[in-house]
Order: sequence, then C-alpha cells, then structure tokens
Amino acid sequence: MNHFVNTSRDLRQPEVGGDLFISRFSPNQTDPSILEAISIGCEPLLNNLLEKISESATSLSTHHVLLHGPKGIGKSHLLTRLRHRIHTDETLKESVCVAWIHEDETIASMPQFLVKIYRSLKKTYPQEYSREWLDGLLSQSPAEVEEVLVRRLISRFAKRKMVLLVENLDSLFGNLGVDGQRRLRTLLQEHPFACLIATSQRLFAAVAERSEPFFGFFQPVPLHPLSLDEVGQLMVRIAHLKGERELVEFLGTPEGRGRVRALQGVLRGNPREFIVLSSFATREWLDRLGSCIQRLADELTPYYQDRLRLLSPLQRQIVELLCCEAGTLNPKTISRRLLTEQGSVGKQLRLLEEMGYVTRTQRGREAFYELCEPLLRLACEVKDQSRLGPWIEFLQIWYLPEVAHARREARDRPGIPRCERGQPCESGRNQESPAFVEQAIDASPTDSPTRFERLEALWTMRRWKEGFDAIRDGLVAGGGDYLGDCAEMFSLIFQLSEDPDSLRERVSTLVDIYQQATADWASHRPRSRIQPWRHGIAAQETAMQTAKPASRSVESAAWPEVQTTLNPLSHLANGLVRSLGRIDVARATRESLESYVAAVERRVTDMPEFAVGLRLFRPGVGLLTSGSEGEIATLIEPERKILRQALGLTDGVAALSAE
Amino acid sequence: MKANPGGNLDPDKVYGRDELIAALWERLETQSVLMNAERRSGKTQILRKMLVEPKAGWKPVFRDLERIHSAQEFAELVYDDIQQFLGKGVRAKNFLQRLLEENETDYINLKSRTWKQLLITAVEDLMKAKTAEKLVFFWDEVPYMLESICRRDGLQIAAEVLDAIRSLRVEQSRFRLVFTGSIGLHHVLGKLSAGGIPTSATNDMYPVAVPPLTLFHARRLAADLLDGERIASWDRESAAELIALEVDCFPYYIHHVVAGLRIEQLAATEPNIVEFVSRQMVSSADPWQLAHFRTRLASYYPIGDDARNATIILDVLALTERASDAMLVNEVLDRSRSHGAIVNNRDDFVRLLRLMDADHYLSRDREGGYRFRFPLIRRWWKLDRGL
Repeated sequence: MNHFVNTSRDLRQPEVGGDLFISRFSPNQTDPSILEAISIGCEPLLNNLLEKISESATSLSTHHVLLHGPKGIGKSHLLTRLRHRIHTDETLKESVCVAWIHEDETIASMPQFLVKIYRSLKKTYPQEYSREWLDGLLSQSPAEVEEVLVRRLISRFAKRKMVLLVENLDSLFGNLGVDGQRRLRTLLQEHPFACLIATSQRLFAAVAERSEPFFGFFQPVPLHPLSLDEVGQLMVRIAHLKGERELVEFLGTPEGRGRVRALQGVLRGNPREFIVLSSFATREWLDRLGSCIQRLADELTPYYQDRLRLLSPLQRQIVELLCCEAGTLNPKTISRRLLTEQGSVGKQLRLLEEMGYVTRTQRGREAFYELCEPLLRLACEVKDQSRLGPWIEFLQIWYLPEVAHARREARDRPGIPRCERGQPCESGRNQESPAFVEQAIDASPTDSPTRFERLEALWTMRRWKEGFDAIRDGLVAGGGDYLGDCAEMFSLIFQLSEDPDSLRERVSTLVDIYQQATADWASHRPRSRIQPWRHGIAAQETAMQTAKPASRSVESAAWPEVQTTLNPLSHLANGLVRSLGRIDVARATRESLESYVAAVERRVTDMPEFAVGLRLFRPGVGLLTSGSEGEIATLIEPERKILRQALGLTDGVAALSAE
Repeated sequence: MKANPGGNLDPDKVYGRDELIAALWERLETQSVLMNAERRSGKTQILRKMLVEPKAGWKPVFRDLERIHSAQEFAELVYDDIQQFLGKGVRAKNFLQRLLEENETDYINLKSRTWKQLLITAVEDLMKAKTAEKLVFFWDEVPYMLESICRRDGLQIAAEVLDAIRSLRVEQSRFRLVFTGSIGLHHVLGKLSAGGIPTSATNDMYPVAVPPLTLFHARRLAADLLDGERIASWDRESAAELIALEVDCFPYYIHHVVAGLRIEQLAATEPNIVEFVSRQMVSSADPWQLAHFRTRLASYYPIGDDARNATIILDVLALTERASDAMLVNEVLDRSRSHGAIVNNRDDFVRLLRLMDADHYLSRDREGGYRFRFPLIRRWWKLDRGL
C-alpha cells in the first residue's frame, strides 16, 4: 500500500527539538530512534532474531522465521528495527548483508524476485553491487537472468550471509506458484547462504501444509495485539515525545486507564491504530472517545477504502454487508441478502478469511463471520455511525473506574439476602441481624457509602416504593449517586420479585426513573455535547475549543465530569449487562430468566441507550444458562469479550477490579 | 546453540547421527542407498552433514530434485554435475574426443542429445575418468521429481528414468547414489504399476530408515538448546529429558518446543513443557500439521475400503493400554471388523498393514505384532479422534 501519510503536522512539538515523524504505513520511513522509543513489548523477540542472525553469521546454520499477524500489528516496524540493529552492530554489519523486499513490490516470477534482491542490495551497498551490470544482464532471457543471478549471489555470499527480509510472503509465494517456490527452496537448500525473516498476515497453506515445498521451513512466530498495559505505555511514550504533559498525567489516573481500556475494546490492541490515534490525542480528545475514534477512522478511511478497492465486487459486497450488521452473519444469510449463490459466497468468505478481512466463529457446524478490523466497519459507515457511537459509549461506561469501584464494593459486601420468589427471606444478613437492616434504612439517603445498603435493606423488607424514591432522590439531589449501582439494582429486582408481573413492573419503574433523570440531565448540559458521534468532527473540534471547563454553566457543573457525555440511562443499560454476573444460575429457573428477559425487552426496546445492552442481554442469558459459547456466536468478538467479563469467564473482571 | 526448527543446521549441531552416517558411508562402498522418512525427520540434515564432512575419498554432490520437471532437465543436471566434478582438464579431453569421434562440435549440441543418451554419456565419462575421489550423488525429494515427470512426460518416461538409473548402477560398479524422499517411493512405483508399467527399479538399493534420536542424544540436544536460548529451568537435565520424551525424541520437534518456550518467554518447567506440547496437538491451527496423517489416508490408500479400514486400524491400535503394546494381525483384523471395517480378504488386509508400515504409521515388533510407529502420532490420533 502506498498510503504514506505525514503526521508531522500533528506531532510537531518544540520539546522534541525537530520533526517527530511517525509513518503509519511505512515504518522504514520513520527515524529508527523514534521507533525504538515507541516500541513496546517486542524487545525479547528482537533480541531472539538478532541472536539467530548472529549464529547464522558465524556458522553454517541458517535460520528462517515467519512473523505473522494481522495488518498493523507491527511486523514492518519490527523488521525496520531489526535492520537498524544489524546496521549498528559492529560485528553483524561486517558479517551479514540485508536485502529487503517490501510489501508494495509486486513480484511475479523467480527471476523478478532475484532482480529485486539484487536491487535492494545495490541500494544498501552501492559499492559492492553494480547497476550497470544488472542493466546489461536484463537484456537476456528470464531463465538466463535467473541462472546468472543465482550464481552471482552464491559467489557473493560464499563467506558471509544474507539476511533477506520479505514482507507479505504469502503474496510472493502465491505469485511464484508451486514451481517458483520449489526453485527457491532448492536454491536455499543447496546453497544455504540466506536467512529469511519474512512476514505474512497468517500462516498460509504454502508454509503450513505438509505437501507444500516450504512446509516446516520457517519458525512461525505470531505477533499479538498489545495488552492493556502495553497500549497504555505506547500512548504515554508518544505523549511524552510530543510533550503532552497533561495527557501523560491523565493516562496515569484510574480514569485515564479506563479510557485506554475502552479504546482497546474498540481497537483490539492494534498498534498501528494506537500510533495514529496518539498522533492527535490530547487530554481533551480522550475525554470524548466518540470523537476520538471518529477522527481516527477519518484518518484511516482512505487506507481502508483503498483496501476495499482491491477486492472483487462480491467480496466488497460481503465486507460492506458485514459493516452494516451489528452482529455476525452466516453464509446462508449473506447469500440471501446479496441474492447470490451460497456456494459463491462461501468461497469468497474463505478467501476473505485468508486475506485477513473476516474472521469466523463456529456454532456447531454453522460458521458465523465478522470483520477482523473494527475500524474497517467505521470507515465503511463513516457517514452513518449509528452503531459504533453507542458501542463506544457502552465501553466508556463499562471501564469507568467509578463503576469498577462500585463493583468491587459490592463484591466486598457480605452476601445479599437471597429470597425465593413469593417466600419470605430466610437467609442472609437480615435473618442474622434484623438490626442491621433497620440501621441501614435509617442511614442518610444521601450518604454515598451507605446508599446502596439502604436501598438493599428497603427492598429486602419489600418496601419497594421507598427504595425507588431513594433512587430518584439520589439521582436528582446527589448528581452521580446510583450510577455505579445499576447492576445491583437489576440483580435485586430479579431476585426479590415474587412473580413475572411484579418483575415487569419494577423493571419498568427503574427505567422510568433513569429516563426522567436523563431528561433532566440533558436540559442542564451544553447541547453540543450530546451524543458527539452524531455530529461531524469539525463540529466536535469547535465544541471542544469553545466548551472549556471554565465556561460550563452552573447547572452543568453540578453533574460530575463523567456525566457530561454519558447519561444515566446509558449507565442503566450498562448495569443491565453487568447484572448477568450476579444471577445465581443454580437457583434461577428457566422460566424466571425468560420473564426477566421479557420484562427488559418489553420496556427498553427502541431506546437508543439500550441498543448495545439489549443486544448483549438475551445471548448473555443463554451463555449463562448453557455455558456454551455457541449462544453468543451471533455477536461480534468485542461483544463476546464483554459478556465473558460480565460472567467472570475471563480474567477481565479480575483485572478490572484490581485497578 | 539456538533453536532452529526448519532451518539448515551447522554440521556440528546435528546430534546423534554419527553412527547412522558411518553406516551409510560403509554401505556406499558396495551399494546405493534408499533413505525414506517423513518430512522433517532430519534426513536432509544428515545428507548436509555428509556433504560438509565427507568420508575421505568421497566427493558428494547434493541436489534437491523437487524443482525438476522432465527427464531432459534431470539428465542435464546430472551431466552438468558430473562435468563439474571431472574438472576442466577431463572436460576438455572428453570434448576433443567427441569432436573427433562423433563430430560433436560444442556443448550445446551435446545437450541436444536425448535425455537417455546424455545420462549414459555423463556416467560413462565419470566411470572412465581416473579421479582421486569417488562421486556420490545425494538426490533429495526423488519421488516429487518422478511425479512431475509422470505429469509432464508420462508414466512411461518416468519408469524409463528409474530403469536407466538402475542400469547405470548395475553396469557401472562405482556409480553411487543416495535417494531420499518424504513421500514413499513405493507410491510412485505403485502408480507406475497401476498404469501397466511394473518396475523394480530400486530393489538393488539398500533401504535405510531415519529413526528419531536415542533418548541420550535427544536429551543432550534439548539441554544444549535450553542453554543456548538461556531458558530458565528447575532442573536442566530433567527438563531436557521431559522435552525429549514429550516429542518422541524427534529433533525437529525438540527445536520447536525450545523455540516456542523462548518466544513465549516461558521457563522450562514440567507444566509449561507439557502444556506447550499439548497445545500444539489440540490447537485448531494445527501448527505441526499432524492432521496430515489423517487427511492423506484417502490419497495414500485409494483402493476400495482401504482408507476407511486404515482409519479403523489406527483407532484400534490407539486404544491399546500402552503405546508399546503390539497386536498380531488376526487380533487387529478381528477388532477392526468389530469396529466396522469391511474386509473380504485377509491378504488385502495384510497388504494394507504393510503399506501403513511403509508409510510410517505402523511398525512391527519381533513377534510380528503391529503398533503405532511413533507414540507422538498415537497420542495425537487419540486426541484428534476423541478416543
């Protein structure tokens, strides 16, 4: 891809003492010292590669490594650093030569491949390789060119080794065909003068199938997305290089980590996307994740659009369809929507999977497909981001430190009294200590540390109305009270309601209260900040310039910072999903769970704030009761991850509470 | 020493093959050798070690024949290699002789001879030359070349190539070869036979199998790799032995495990080693491509119910209490039938068992009983088939 975009405009800062240029698509165009400064987590691998090359340089061994991972994962970045390290190592630079076949070089035959290698060597070592000699050779037939170049390379590397860096090895091998691959393998087997350090998006048949010439030839090394910590470190390092002190400090706070976690939920730890994002990120931008992601998508849209142009019409249609879908789709549905034979769709899906555009989840024998790269979806629907906006908002609340804190508090409390439907409470704290309940009820309704215990005590005593009043008063008078307790409220309502009717009524009442609170909240905040993803970037930038904290109205200042962009109903929707983790599956019946789902669906369907929560809720109940991942196969991977966290099926919850 | 799965090894780093290599040189004094082994069993590294450290008096030439597509290409390659070996003086002498006797005016004309003439000329040149060293060809991936010749030139020519090479071996007492191949040569011969061209073109060659390393050497390899990669371990010798045992002492997989531990920055502890190997076996990505042992059954055994019966035989043998337990033919037959195998003729069943032996699925103990050749494959088969 030739989408070299100069970001120096965004990154130029006086503290760096010059241009801070980080190329998004061609890391070899970036100053290696900057690449070293922003490299996270791959130092052990880089050292391992250098050790292998050192051994190859001093013995008859040759090592071949295939670095594989999706686009933007850091393959070219790693190769650039590897070359830089070789060229700055006094021993290695004498004993090995580096040739680099870049990803944008189209090679269709073995002679062309050899010519490219020669040209790369000529570029790096102009004293040793002659352009005139090569130009003269090119007047001969391709077979003769191949034969002469093979002899030339063998003689040139009789006493030292070549490190051959090859990007997109899958593409090269596809173009060489089996015959070309066999000739290349024969050359490397008979004359082991080169170490191949190659990259590809995945392990492909030509290296992974036993019947193929290059089976087992490479040591495959997967490159993984950045972890949360690594993403945080990357953003801090770039912010530091840019001189963004305020951002560096913010990223160290629990709130800053929550934002980074939400970003990771959208971008899935793709280093390239975080590098692009960091090029414009400031403290203010991170405050508005929707705008932040939208700008990122805007920056990357030409890149994704170019990638889409490379696809066949049917492949493009499939990708566009998946972009428009909230969840995953199976081949049958795709073929029906596109009015195309299922066989053709299946074939194209397999190709798209091989090319890294889509990924597959199995439910029994059925396969469900989704896009690999979340920003591809955003780039496709750049004019209508009705889906990503709510999703970002959902993640922003999901990873709020306040919410995490509330969850930890809730977990630390002794067990909630469990009551069977229609039965008086017989176990738990109230039975052991009725005085505790009375004490909780008598506590101040506006005292934050005890507010939830008071509510819990009231509802345990079946004093539902007083409980709802307490929530209402808390939201109106206390500003942020009860926002972090939504999961517990849903949980109590489900556990303590005696029958489906009362369950439905209480769910409805709870939603009514939060709906009213949201209306009150909307009338007290600057209009420009409502649902920022529904406005253009320009409008956002203007709003950010004009709506500085100092200029906020008295009314809006009464709301905590978090509420300026995330409304109470959004918190309630978040709590609904989180409440899944509080359901005691052993005690809940299938009917009671179905009543719960029905009560929720009946009340919140068509409410935009619940768009994400409701989509996750029913599959989440299915996963909870059956334990089968097949129940959530229709959801995209980030959504599946959220549900696993909600149900404690990964270390996500533990990690969250550890903050 | 760095872990190097798949790459070329320095001869010093090829462990535990000295005895086999000595036996090969000894055998080559009197006979050519047919070395058949699965891919990644280490046969090419053995040949490379022999190439770099030849026995005194021998001049080996290594050729990977996978790229050869026709009898003509093959003959030209052999001709060029022999001329290269003979040196400029002998080449000039031969050239003048041909110019005078046969009016061959140049090298190009010589190459325009038929592939058979070229091959015979080349070997005759070799035999009549008084060289201090004996030439031995290491021809790797011969079955692939023969399959390519079958496709391009036809079965008849492929059979003629094999017969011509055999004739040269028989007629020229000092002409020596080492054939190797990752797919059994018997499959190519079977294809020729099925095409009405039966040939016994390799029955004068000495068959050699490439076994896994002994535990002693496998342990030493694993220990040196752990040292080379600076991987922490609770007890280096125990960790090395565990790695060796977990992968049946196959050097390729030993390199893989140590390389994997290094990449994942794991210490060489018992749980890490066991978990790593198990992960390779059950991973849907199948990083070691063990599924090949299942998927190739249909193409290896295309006759009648052979592929299905082979699957059942492997199921039956996978269920023995220990990997070393062997089962006599009648017992395998009875149990296979009870598992649904359709066997009308005992001889056909025995034929299938022998083919599976030749294809490295099975081996026989001293009593003639069959068992999985490699416990690693048996372990994978049980996991893969849910047995």
